[in-house]
Parts: sequence; structure tokens; C-alpha cells
Amino acid sequence: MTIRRLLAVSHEATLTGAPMNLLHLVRWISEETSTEVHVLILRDGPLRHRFEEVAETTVLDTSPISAALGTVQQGLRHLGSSRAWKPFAELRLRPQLRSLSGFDLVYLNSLGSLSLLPYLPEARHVACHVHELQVALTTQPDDLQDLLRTGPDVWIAASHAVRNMLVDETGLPADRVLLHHEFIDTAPFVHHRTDARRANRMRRELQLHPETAVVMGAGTIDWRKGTDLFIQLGTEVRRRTRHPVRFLWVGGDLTGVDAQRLHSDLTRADADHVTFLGTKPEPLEWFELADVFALTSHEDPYPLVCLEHAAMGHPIVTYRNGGMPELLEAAGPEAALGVVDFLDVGALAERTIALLDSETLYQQAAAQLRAHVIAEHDVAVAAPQLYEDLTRLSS
Amino acid sequence: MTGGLLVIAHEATRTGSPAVLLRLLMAARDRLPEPIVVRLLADGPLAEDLRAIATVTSDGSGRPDVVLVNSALAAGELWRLPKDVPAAVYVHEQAIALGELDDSALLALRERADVVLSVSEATTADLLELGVARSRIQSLRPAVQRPQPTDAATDAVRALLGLSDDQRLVLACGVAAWRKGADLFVPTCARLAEHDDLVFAWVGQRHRTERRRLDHDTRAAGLDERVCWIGEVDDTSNWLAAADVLLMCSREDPQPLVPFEAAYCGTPTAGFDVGGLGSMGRTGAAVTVPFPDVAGLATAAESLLDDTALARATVDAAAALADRHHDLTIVAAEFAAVLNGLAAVGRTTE
Repeated sequence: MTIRRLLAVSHEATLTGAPMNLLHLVRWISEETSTEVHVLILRDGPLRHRFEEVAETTVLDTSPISAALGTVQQGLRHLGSSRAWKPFAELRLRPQLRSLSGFDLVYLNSLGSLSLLPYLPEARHVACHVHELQVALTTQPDDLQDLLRTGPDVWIAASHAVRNMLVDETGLPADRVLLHHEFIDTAPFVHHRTDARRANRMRRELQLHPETAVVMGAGTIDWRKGTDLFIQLGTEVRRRTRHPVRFLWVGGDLTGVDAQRLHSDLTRADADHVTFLGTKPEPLEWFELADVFALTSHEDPYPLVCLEHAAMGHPIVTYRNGGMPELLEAAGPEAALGVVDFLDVGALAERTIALLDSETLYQQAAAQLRAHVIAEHDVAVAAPQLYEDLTRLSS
Repeated sequence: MTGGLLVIAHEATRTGSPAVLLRLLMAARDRLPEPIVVRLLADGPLAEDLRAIATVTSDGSGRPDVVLVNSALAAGELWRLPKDVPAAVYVHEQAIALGELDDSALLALRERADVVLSVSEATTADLLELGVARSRIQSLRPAVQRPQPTDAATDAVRALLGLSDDQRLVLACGVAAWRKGADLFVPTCARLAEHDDLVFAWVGQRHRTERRRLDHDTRAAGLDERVCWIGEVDDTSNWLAAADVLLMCSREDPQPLVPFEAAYCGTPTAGFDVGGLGSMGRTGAAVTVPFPDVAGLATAAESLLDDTALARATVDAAAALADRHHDLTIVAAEFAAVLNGLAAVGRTTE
């Protein structure tokens, strides 16, 4: 039995983890199976065109009327309305979703796309891929948290940490919460060749001396991604070593309230060696400047950016929280040395410096991570396993 | 109202600036223009105490002799008053908070207030940066009231926390928000947690979003059993007296008073070298480390916990500083003089 038609719902089309993971899955299914995939995007973004390349794609709220209804709906929800927003949601969503019927499987990618479920034509099966952890889950409205429990037939957990939360805290049935670690297309990262001229130009722009090591962070600028802890790490490393080390963060909006706070912390800490670069259209070009990748998130289920850096041969340091310790510990003993207790910034700085100081340790950790990611987290390996589980559900 | 003093206060919470206002009104009330009317923009537990010395209202229309706006956050309210009523704004904020003021409040500070009272040199520098004329800025350091903790109440705090005689309390105090560095309290505790005899507590309100984040970090750091988020309490002095060291994790605090109150209770302070605490650190009234060195802050706390001579010296220096610059009698007299002077001279409108 195969899945004849699959509707993949993405809450947004940003260049962030969950939509990227879905894109990899959808592309693999479209190319390697006979399943017909349709993508539904709730909020438009730069990734839409890449979805359109691999599957028929519908973007919600492209007409001014439905967009206006969406604004009213959201406004009422923000005002604390428990019911008044529902008629607006009906008016907005039913007409747009009516044609999306006859699917064997609705695949809701992330909690953000769950809200659509009550308005979708009935499908034979519903799967929800959960890429969130506690704080992201508990900040969702109560009705959405209820829907998470009652809507799907099966849940895909992005890491052990997510699975433990869903089973132990949310109370979902263990036999229907399937563990599938995140995956990427490793090829562009593994086979990436550094353009020396470009790299030199970028280093000059950033006033990076050839001897200066680079510790990189990446992601949106908000509490969850731990930009505050990245600055802490930067100042702690500077205190502990005489060698020049620069901290670069790729990604994020540099204009919001979180960014203002960030800049005020940078100023107060006199951390002129820590730079936030903002969103980059080609992050890979910036990633190649990294020597070590530092994941300082307060909460992160299994960030793809770590898989990408691992595939590029960059060792990773991380706090013991979320899903990333699972990757490092599975990769090998030297890679696992990158894990320290949560919030122990001294230990994180020490491991970072150890990787920069010891070429042997650096090479071993890098090789272990790269080999593990290619073997376990490449789309060609992981997507068939996930697809097989989804097929089993559908049959 | 007609005549007298109108006080516009942004809130009546048990936090720094409302507490200072209450203290000054109580100490100076016999010397202030009468009647005294307090217009509260937001309620809070101190409203009851304010009612004992003034008429508290949410309206406050009319024509007073003089207006005092307590904290820059409410400065925009000055535009609702007749233009020729003289006004002072008591600014307790610094860079981050001042940077978040709306245009109306900023314009009021620059153009409407006759006198802008500043709690610290850091605040004065930031006001100048915002375009407030130096000629209109006057220094008025916040007043400290010597706390009166009792042994019984202090014992009750330790009992509430389940502390045995050989356990020590590391305390932080204030609204548990970003500006106060509640997020930095958790990693500092994590660093100190290797000392089994230490228990950690934060006294002060926690807002919803911040609570979720702090609970997450506390749990993820394995500190659920060690860190207690107490919430707001009626009287912090018993907590300060029960503590062995006070941690100040603030990113910004132009002139924190809690370290002085703690010193009067015999408790030394460790914190970051920012704002008013930085000045205290330079005079030995607190042990300070560069922001955001949480490991260094933990070491500073350890030194105060383990070195009784250092702790004693820090406490003495802080108490002496409070006596010298923050004495309620002196500050209340300055406060009354500013307001009476304004009321007497009146205001010339352009």
C-alpha cells in the first residue's frame, strides 16, 4: 500500500529549520516515489519558490479579503477572545481550503500548522511533525494544545527530547509518537569548496586577521536561540585566551526589540569581537568562515544548522539541553566533548578553546560529526525511513 | 483640584521608584504645598499607603500650584495640564528605559518640565544625551529607609525556605525581568550550585513570558530544587536579613537601593559593574565584576560568603555610603525645597 496523495502543510516559508526539513522531505517524495504531493503554505516567504519547484503549492491569504479576515481573526485572538474569532476563521479558511480534498495523508509540519486542521476537508490520516519543545509548546493557545492531543493519528518527534516531552508531559501514546531526527541534503555542505578569494574578501570586510579563529552561531534573534548566551560565551572565551577569537552570528532581524536588547548587551559587555550579521541570502558562504559552531539555544529540538556545520566539518559545542547532545554523543567520543551542562558558560568556553587549540581534537570531532551526519541525517537515508512509517500508517 | 501639589505616578508597585516616592511624601508631607493629590496611572499595593497621606485619584484634573511626575515613564502626562503650571519630573531610569520612552514623554522632558530630577550621574548623562538642557537637571538621589527586620520574621523566612542552620541563602530582589537580569541569575546559581549548602531565591514579581523562560532555564539547569521564585512580598527587609549574600544581576540600574537596604541588614552585595552598582563597587560598597561575567559573579559571591572580613567591610562601606548620600531626612528636605521653589516662582509660558 502506498500513499496516493499527500498534503504537506507548512506554517511558513522562511529559511528556517522546520520548513527546510519539510522541503527536503517533499522533494525526496516527489522525486523518488509515486505519491502526489501538494504543499500548503500558511504564510508566504522566500522558500515558497523552492516548494513550487518540487510540488504543486498553495499559499494561503493571497487575496486582500482573506488577508483582511486573517488580520481580524488574529486581532481578536490577541485580544483574548475565545470564540469571536471563529466565524472569521470559517469565512477566511473554508473557501480557500475546500478544493484540498481527497488526500490520504495530511502532514502538518510543526505546531504552527495545526490550527488549520479543523478547516481542512477530512483526510484519511493526519500526522503532525513536532519540531518544538516545552516553551514553544506551552506558549501556544490552549485550543491548539488540545488539538495537538486530539487531531493527529500519529506524531513525528524531531528528537528524543521532543519525543520525551510529547509522551511524558503531553501524555501522547508512546506507540504513536515516532522518532525521526531532522535531516538535510548533506551534499552541498559536504562538497562545498571554499572560494578563497571570496573568503578573503569577507574576512577583510569583517576585519578578520588570518590568525583569528571564528566561532559561529546562527538563527533568529530571540530568546529561544540564546543570542544572550552567545554574547556570554564570547566574553568568557575572551577572558580565557590570549589568541584572537571572533564570534559571528548569521541570521535574524537586526531591527526588533530583541535586537535592541542584544546591542545594548554588546555595548555593556564591550564585546566588539561579537558581531551579528543579520539575515544573509547565501548563509553557506558565511558558514565557511567558521572554525567552531556554538549552539547556545535556551531551547532547540534539533537544529538543522548544526547538521549543516557538521557536514562542513566544523566541530560543535552546545549546552546539554534540547536535542543536540543526541547528535554529538552519537557521533563519537571527541564530538561528545562538545556537550557541557546547561548554562555552564565557563565549561562551554573551555571546550571551545580546547577545539581551537588542539588540531588533533578538532580533526577527530569534526570527522566524527561529518561521518555521522552523512550516515544518519542525509535526506537520502532519513527520508525513506520517515516515508516508510507514513506509508505504514496509511495502510 | 485647585492649588497644592499634584503628583502623577506611573504605578504603585512595590518597586524602586514608587517606594522612593512614598518615602519622600511621608517624610516631607508637612513641608509640601497642600493639598497633596496623587494621580495613579496604574494601581498597586502601595496605593493604600499613599492614601494615608494624600488624596489618591485616577483623574487629577484642575489646577495645582506645582506638579511632580514620578518617573520619566509618566512624563507625557504633563501635556494634559495647563501650560503655566510648574512641573518637575523625577527620573529614576537610565539608557534602556529612557530609550523606550515615546515621543510625548521625551518632548515633555526636553520642553515641558521646569526641573528634571535625576537619581544618579549615569541618569544625568543619559538625559543630556536625550537633549535635556543641563540647566534644568538637578540631582536628587533616592532616599533609603533603614529597614527594621526582626529576628522572628527573619527566622520565619528561613523556615519558609526550609533552611537548616548550616545552609546559606543567596538572594536576588526586584521585578524578575530582562533589565534586572533575572536570566543571568540562573547561570550564576548554576555556577554556585556545587556548594551543597547554598539555596537560591529571587524575591519579586515575575511576568508571564519571563516566568516561562526562567522556569525553563531553571529546570534545564537542574536547579528546580535549589532556586525558589518567591514572587512579590510585603516586606523585603526580612528576606534581605535572612540572606547571606545579595546578587544584583541587573543590566541597568541607575541607583539601586536594595544593596543599601541589604547592607543595613548586614548582607553584602555582589553584582555587575553597571550603573549605580558600578559606582558602589569602586568604593568597596559592593563586589562587582564586568557584565556579563556570570562565572566571575559567582566567584564574587563565593568570596563574600567565605570571607567574613570582606563581607563585613563591604557592608560597612555600603551603609556609610547610604548614610552619606541617601539619608531620608536630607533627601526629603531637598525634595520639598525643589517643589516649594517651583510653586513659589510659578511658570512663564512662551
